[in-house]
Amino acid sequence: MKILILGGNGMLGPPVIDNLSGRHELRITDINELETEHDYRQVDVSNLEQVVDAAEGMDAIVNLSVLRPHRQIAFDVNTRGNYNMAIAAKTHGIRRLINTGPHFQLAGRNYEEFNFELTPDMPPQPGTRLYAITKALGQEILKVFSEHEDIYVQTLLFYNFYDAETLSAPNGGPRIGTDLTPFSVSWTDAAQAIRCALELPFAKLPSRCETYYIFTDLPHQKFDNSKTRAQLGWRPRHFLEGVWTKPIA
Amino acid sequence: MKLLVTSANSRLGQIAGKALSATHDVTLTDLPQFAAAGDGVVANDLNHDEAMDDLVTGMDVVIFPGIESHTGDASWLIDHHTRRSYNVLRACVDAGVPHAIYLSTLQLLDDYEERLTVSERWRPLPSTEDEILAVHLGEYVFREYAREEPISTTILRLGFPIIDGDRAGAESVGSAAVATDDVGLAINATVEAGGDGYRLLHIQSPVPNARYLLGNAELAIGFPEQKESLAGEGAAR
Ligand SMILES: NC(=O)c1ccc[n+]([C@@H]2O[C@H](COP(=O)([O-])OP(=O)(O)OC[C@H]3O[C@@H](n4cnc5c(N)ncnc54)[C@H](O)[C@@H]3O)[C@@H](O)[C@H]2O)c1
Repeated sequence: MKILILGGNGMLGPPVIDNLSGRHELRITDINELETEHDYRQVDVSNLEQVVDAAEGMDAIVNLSVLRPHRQIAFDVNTRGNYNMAIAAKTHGIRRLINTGPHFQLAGRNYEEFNFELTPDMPPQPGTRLYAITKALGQEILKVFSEHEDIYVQTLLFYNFYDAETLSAPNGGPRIGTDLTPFSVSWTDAAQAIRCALELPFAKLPSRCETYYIFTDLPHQKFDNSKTRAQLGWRPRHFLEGVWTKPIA
Repeated sequence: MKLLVTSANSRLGQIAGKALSATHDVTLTDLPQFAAAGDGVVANDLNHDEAMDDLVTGMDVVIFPGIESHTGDASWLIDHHTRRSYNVLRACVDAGVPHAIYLSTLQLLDDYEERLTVSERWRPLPSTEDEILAVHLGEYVFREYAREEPISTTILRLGFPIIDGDRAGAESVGSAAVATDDVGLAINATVEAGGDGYRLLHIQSPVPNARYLLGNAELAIGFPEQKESLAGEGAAR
């Protein structure tokens, strides 16, 4: 498959590229420069023309781009970036879009602080946090397009990432016996989930717009990842037990 | 009351401004490219800045026209209805403005067949058409603010087409039409009623075989007029 990756030069990009290399033909893009053996283009996702041009000849688009804190650019990247991806798909007849975002674009504070057994099929309640609502609006755009066009949108939601060997997260570690946000996954398992989504036959998708929670099997029962296992056939390899079990002296 | 109307030089902004000015202290604002010197409209970009904060300070209600506001390409429209509405609402929350109104459209429910009893309880079915998609997203932002912040928001989904004049004129135009007189009436009544958490109200002129049910509007703001039977039903519940 020929796959366009948007925002491929961030934290999740490298493990995803590693995972897909050799199996698929990748066109990697980011607003930044990147040294890579793959086809690379500098693309600003908020620029419609650039996204449409970059998508020519592709079979699927994976959107890893994100901009969190800025009150203009967050909308440009997280909301309008998805509109641009949808138009690129429509323009070139690309049927598969893999979107990504944080779990709270769907399970916002009003869910997370109050409930357990949260599933990815709940109506989104992002609340008003800039990152959450801009990503949620981007997701809504894709949903509307999937209802009118022959476009399949699979949205993979993440929260915390861990290095499987060291149990370190980007903000520090190793974290032994500290407990974790019960929405955590290793980088390599996260990348594998994206591969599972890309390679899933359309016939196995219940609708043209499906969302998945990507976190490893955890005992908290705060969130529920069973849909990801059942539909994507994803099996996490790393369970991060060292973080959520206490070291016994 | 002190009111702010955004996009005041757009068609719906003008309708809202005119309808409210007789009984309220109305400030009109528009983006600099749409505001001419001396037209009584305050030029403001609705950006995340001090000018935005100053504009809403002391307001009782802010009215944000969605449909039939200014036009542009899809990127412009999406940006306007998401980012700018977000900025306006954030400034309102920070300044303690209690109520904001978004003027949306019943076109979000146009895909349902005419014979169906489409009320506010039916899921919107937006198309990918630029303005409709953008207005759908505008509703989204207003809904999340009501859900999570200390501000009430009301969405008025207006009939279509919006025709100049009174109810009689709407009758000949279509089963979903709304007359500008009725738009003004509904906006005024919504301002008077005050906010109540999150409200979603369908507004069209009461033409024969009217396409959309107006039960929420009747109960919340007495639009198009309070009917005895419905008032009784509401009280009985
Ligand atoms: N890292 C996390 O902790 C985390 C948590 C939850 C969800 N996610 C989601 O995972 C996905 C990947 O995130 P990440 O961790 O790699 O984020 P990141 O910030 O490390 O990378 C984002 C990439 O997007 C690029 N980008 C920003 N603006 C752009 C633009 N205008 N055009 C093109 N590219 C642009 C950046 O240059 C960067 O390379 C995102 O959807 C994010 O919301 C990440």
